[in-house]
Amino acid sequence: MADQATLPLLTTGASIDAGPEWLATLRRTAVEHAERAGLPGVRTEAWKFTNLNAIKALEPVAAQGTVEIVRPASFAGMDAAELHLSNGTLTRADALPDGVEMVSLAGPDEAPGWVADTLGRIADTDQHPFTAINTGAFLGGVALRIARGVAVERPILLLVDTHGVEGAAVAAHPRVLVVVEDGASADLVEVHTGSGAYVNNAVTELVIGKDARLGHYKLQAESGEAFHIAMTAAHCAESSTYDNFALSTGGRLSRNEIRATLDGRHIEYRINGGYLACGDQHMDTATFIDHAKPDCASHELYKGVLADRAHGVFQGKILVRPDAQKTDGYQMNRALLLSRDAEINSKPELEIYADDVKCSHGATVGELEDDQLFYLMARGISKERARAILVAAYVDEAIDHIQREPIRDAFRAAAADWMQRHIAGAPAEGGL
Amino acid sequence: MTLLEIENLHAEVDGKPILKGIDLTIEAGQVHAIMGPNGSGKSTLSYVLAGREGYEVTEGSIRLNGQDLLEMEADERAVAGVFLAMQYPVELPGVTGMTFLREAVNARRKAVGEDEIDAMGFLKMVRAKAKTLGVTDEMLKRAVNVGFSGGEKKRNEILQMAVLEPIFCVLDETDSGLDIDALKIVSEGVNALRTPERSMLVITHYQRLLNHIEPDVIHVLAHGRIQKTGGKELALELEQNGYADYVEAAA
Repeated sequence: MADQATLPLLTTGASIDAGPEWLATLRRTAVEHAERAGLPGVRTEAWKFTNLNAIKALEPVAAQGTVEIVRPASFAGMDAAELHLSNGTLTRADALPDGVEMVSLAGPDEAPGWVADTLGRIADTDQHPFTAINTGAFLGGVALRIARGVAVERPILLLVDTHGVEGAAVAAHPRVLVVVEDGASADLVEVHTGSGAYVNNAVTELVIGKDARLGHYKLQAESGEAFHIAMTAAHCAESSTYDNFALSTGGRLSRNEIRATLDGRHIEYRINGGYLACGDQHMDTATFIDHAKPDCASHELYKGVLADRAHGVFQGKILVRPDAQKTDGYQMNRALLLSRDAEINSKPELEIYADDVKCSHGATVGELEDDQLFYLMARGISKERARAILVAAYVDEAIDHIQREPIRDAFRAAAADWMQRHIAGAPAEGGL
Repeated sequence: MTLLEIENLHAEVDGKPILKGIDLTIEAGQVHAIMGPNGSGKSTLSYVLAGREGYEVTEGSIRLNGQDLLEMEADERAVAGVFLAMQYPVELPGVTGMTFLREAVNARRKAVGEDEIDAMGFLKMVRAKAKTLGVTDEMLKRAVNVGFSGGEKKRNEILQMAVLEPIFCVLDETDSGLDIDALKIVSEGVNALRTPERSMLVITHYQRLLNHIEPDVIHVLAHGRIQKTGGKELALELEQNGYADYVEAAA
């Protein structure tokens, strides 16, 4: 693609026409979309609070080589089947439980029909430039299919690691597709880590069938110099459950976008998360919930902790289409500012075209409560410890929504780990 | 033996003088009551004793067992044995009752160089004390005071007092928001904690609490000063005549 690309991020060194025809067609369209759109500026509504000049100034090179990926300590105790994507290349794949089929997306010369039929159909390249770039430039990734009616107990842990090289910014575009067939159930945990300076432009597409359940949990713990741009796009069918949780702690600049279409009745969508930022970190969360059919419920709670000069962004939109009567939607973003220089932009948005719905949304920004601090101190707890206890409890309210206990524990440990490193006096893991 | 000694205490909040020269001495094992009309400075006194930020002492001294309390932060005072049972116990979403108690006990142990408390032994001890106060296991597992009734909150305060074993307790309007049954449970809990070493300062607007927790000495606080000191008969006198005399006297 090098010869065609005007967008540096599209540079991969590989040919756009490699692989089967369906893929080449998909890529050609995506590259067209990417080049037409360019990287969004702050005049684009969806990006108004996140300035991408630092990415635009990069001259990225395609990610090269691989490293052995090690689980973060907070996830060490979790029983899971591991998949490793190092610089976008699949470097390890544990035996997956019965009923789970896996296909590597590294140059899939012969991909099964379900991959060809689904890949690129959920995440829209026309509207989302980074998704277009990923689609045009991904060199590797995984596609997973959970067979009809199969309940997979053991979580699938996908470790995505990117490592920069001295003097250049590496760009990786990992691609993930998960198809949960009717009546099947599975848990996917994504952990994004890395070292040095790089751009990790990830796209995850999810298809959740009728009566199916997917637990999808993501930890963004990239290196402090990294740019993390991620799109999760999900399509949910009737009576399915999608339990989504995302925790962001890493990266210099990160954007986590999660879009779900509730395209059947009686879907339960849970989308919760947290963002913990300090130093000069910029963390942007954008969520879009498309209530397309009646009788669905969505529950969204985000809790943010912003220290030092950190900048948080939360844009959450709920669309209730004319047909989506009896929709029950709840959305809340709460941010805790631990410093006078920390900043949050919060933009909740409801767009409702049905007349018989229950939707509420809100946003709060605050500091630690004086009376809570005093209450703890009046019982002998030091001020530092009291602050740490209150911050941990604040974040825990969101983590509490993760449905699977071992996974909840791992995220709690990941949050505790962040607290230990950045909040003085924080309780040890499992301290609360 | 004198446990608490307050001399010529002046304090202000947001630059407004509230306490205007309080003198009060409490012997070990004694229970004193402070009664007074609204706005007399009762709650300010309790916060000043506990060391809440924003309550500034401009003159005078407070000594506990000879130690200068005013030199200490709120947490240091608690470790030294001061306990304030709050008028409005604060909700702590995300912090369970058990965690709160364990943190408080361990903070104390750490301050005196002891190891953290044994988890199993602690659980047993807390449960036994909770039972006598009608605090259920379920309440201990829930976030502190979140969704608790007025009575549950006050019982929870007394449970903390029983677990932390302070030497000087301030009970700020502990009777407010309690029905007669809850008042009995709370009072019995407090009375069970009376020892020859432990002193208490019971702050209340009404005489009714003092039927259950019988004080050795009663003070009437108005306009930031103690206007009168006496025995139990003083409470009955106030019950009959109200605070009118005191409100007008210094006005």
